[in-house]
Parts: sequence; C-alpha cells; structure tokens
Amino acid sequence: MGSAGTAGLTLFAADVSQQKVRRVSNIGLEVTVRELTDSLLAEMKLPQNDPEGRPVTYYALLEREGRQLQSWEKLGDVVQSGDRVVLQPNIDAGRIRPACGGRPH
Amino acid sequence: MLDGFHRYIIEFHSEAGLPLGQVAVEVDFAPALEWTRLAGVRSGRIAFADYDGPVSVVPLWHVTLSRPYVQGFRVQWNSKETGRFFCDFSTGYFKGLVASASTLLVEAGKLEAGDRFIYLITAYPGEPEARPNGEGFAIEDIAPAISVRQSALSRFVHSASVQGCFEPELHPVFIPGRVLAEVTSLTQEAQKIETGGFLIGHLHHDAAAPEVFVEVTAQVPATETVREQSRLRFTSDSWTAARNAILLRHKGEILLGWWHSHPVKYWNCKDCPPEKQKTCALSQGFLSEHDRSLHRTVFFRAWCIAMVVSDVSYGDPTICVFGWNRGILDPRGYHILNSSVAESNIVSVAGLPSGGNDAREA
Repeated sequence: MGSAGTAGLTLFAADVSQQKVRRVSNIGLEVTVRELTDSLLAEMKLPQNDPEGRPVTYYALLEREGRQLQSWEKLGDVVQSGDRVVLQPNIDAGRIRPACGGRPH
Repeated sequence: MLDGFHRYIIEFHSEAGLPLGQVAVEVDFAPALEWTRLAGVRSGRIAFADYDGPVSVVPLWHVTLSRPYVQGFRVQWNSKETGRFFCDFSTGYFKGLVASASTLLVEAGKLEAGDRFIYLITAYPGEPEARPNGEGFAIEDIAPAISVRQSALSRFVHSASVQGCFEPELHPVFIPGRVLAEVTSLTQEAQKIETGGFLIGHLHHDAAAPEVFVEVTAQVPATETVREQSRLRFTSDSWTAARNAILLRHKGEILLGWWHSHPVKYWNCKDCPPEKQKTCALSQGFLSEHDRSLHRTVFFRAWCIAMVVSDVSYGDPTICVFGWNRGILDPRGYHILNSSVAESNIVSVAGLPSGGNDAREA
C-alpha cells in the first residue's frame, strides 16, 4: 500500500491534543509502527510511565482509515506518504487511595 | 528551541541546618514556557502563531546566597517581530520535584516520613541531552493549527457571573450553567463509580483588550473508559470518540480540558461526621498525582482546564476548576455563562491542516 519513492515515506504525527505535531520523513518501508511510536514518544517528550512507574501504552491511530495500527505492522504496508497518525494513550485519572484523615495522593 | 540549559540540584537540610543530601532533578520547564507564551499573547507581545521562537530559561541567582543557589528562573521569549518578553518563576515551581526527591531521602533513612526539612535549589551550566534520532528517519516540529475566534471579552462578561476567586493574572474561563448541571447530573448517576468527560469549546482573542479567554460550549461524556471507584482510565478509543464527537458537532470546537468525578461520599469518608467531611481534604476538589500527570500529558497548553466534581454526602456535588497558574496546576475561579453569546469571527492560526482540533470554517 505504501507509495514511497526511494527517499522513503513522509507522514505527519500528532499527540492526542493535536498540539504537538511532527513531520516524519525518510521512513524506510520496513520500519515498524512500534519503532516509529517509540521514537516519537521520546521526541515529543510524552511520558512513557505513569507516576507509579507503570508503562503508559500508546496506540497509533491512522486517521485516513480510522483504525489503530498494530505495533508489529510495517509502515510500508499500511501507510501512504502524507498520512497522519495520532498517538493516543491509555491513561488513568484518579488512582487515589481514599483514606479518612489523610491527604489524598 | 531552548537556550541557557542548566542542570538543577536540590539540596536538603534539616530544620537545624544540617546537610541531609543532594538530589539531581530533571526540571520540566514546558509548563513555564507555555505560561510565558500565553502571558505574551495576552499582552499582545507574542503572536498566536509564534511557536518556535528562540526561548531561554536562565536561573535567577539567589540575592543573598548567590550562585549556584537560585531564587527562581526566568523564561525569555525572543520574538523576531515583537522583541523580548519574559516571565519570572519562583522556587515554588520546584515543589513537586522537591516532594518526589524527598522520598529518596526517606528511603535512604536520612529523613523520617513527615519530617520537616529545608531545601535549596542550585543550578549549574550544562549541555542538554541530544534529541533522540529515529530509526534512520528525520523528525521535525510543525506548528499546530489552533482555531482562535476574534471576540469582544465584554460581551461574555456581561452574560456571566463570577464563580470563586478570580485572579486578574489568569485568563478568563466561561462555562455555561447547563454544562455544570450536566456534569453534576452525570456524577450523581454514576454513584460510587468515577465518571468523566471532555470540555470542548472555543479559544477567543480580544485584540482590543488585549485578552485571551476560553469559552466552554459543551461537555462530551467519555466513552470506552475503564471506570472504578477511584480510577478512571481514558483509553485510546476514548480519545477517538471525543474527536469524532467534535467533528460531528461541526462547530469548530477544540478540546479545552477534561472533567471527572470524585464519589467522595462512597469512599471511606462516608462514616465521618458531616462537619469533619466539610473540612476534609478529600471532600475538597483536588487533583491526584495521576490527574496531574494526565493534564500535563494532554492538556499542557496554559489555557487548558480541568474540572473535578466531588459528590459529597453533606450537600449537592461541588465543582472545582483547575488551571495552569505560572506553570503549576491550581484551583481557579471561572465565569458561569448564563446565556449564549453571539457568534464571533473565526480565525484559524496557520498550521498543519487536518485533525479533529483544527478549524474548518475559516
């Protein structure tokens, strides 16, 4: 499905707020979704662990198809140059330990 | 682009002044940068579309202890068009880091849990870590698109009443009474399980004032969540559903914030006397560490807000709104919008087209 030339794919990536946007270019067809996501998380400085140290899971939503890409999929098989992916976390609110008389944390 | 990089170290001392140890910390300056940018835009000193101007963060050296001790830091925005603009921040900005770092001293046996201590912040020039390289591909920043409406603040103020303490240093936030009623109702319906959703609406700019303000137009209940008594997980599908809801409404709204409930009266507090509950920290609106982390991750723009609805046993649910205040998430006042305000001119700030949060009516 990929329509890359010799220079590789170019796509746009955004965080879930759509306020951090990156252009990713020269992507090899063999690069996996996980490899792309890992690089973007680090580059966008998105937290990869929650406050208790548990890993935060992010999914890459391919806007053109409205589906979440699987981490093992090769980009050359699933995206087209100019596509836009959104990194969306499974992220928790709350997780307090209610205790009368104690400060919430 | 961030200049003036320094490494920061927290020095801990006992109340008697004895040294307890040092902890190197990685300071997240992004909220301070966002605050400075919004302050600059609000005062007409920074353009809305100015995202990649050179920014420097420099220590403000302590007037009595002198270098390397700091009494705060300065974020300076260097705009090609409008010159320099800066905001100063106190060491209060480091409070969260200090609290986290102090736990290391407790683990090391140098502090007992609950001990009081004195801390000092030091800074040393350094080099930032190199940006990570992709797997052979190149990654570059693109200015995001933000839908901004040109509107007169006065028209909103005349249709609203102030709720809570309103600080002039904070941008105005307008929330319709019906949205407050909806989140209250949803909280009560959820009973002992946490619930929540997204606050959507418009970002406004009044160039004449000058002022930037937020208008919440609706709340979108979060779907595809995992809900428990003291936990609410927003899944990847929750974000997709929120974006789809915004697109379906076709009103050019953007994601402004989020809300969630605290079913306080179903927590352990239910057995406490009402008078004690009224002053209990759990009954007040608060953000947990996870709430703050979520807000920092998704709602890092200085104009974003969070709302907590506390379902207390001694009366109707209470609502507390939080927002960024000099880079720190604090409770804040807001305006309750009593009636709708006429449509204003919509202007889309240049950026990458597409995406659910982009203006399409421009």
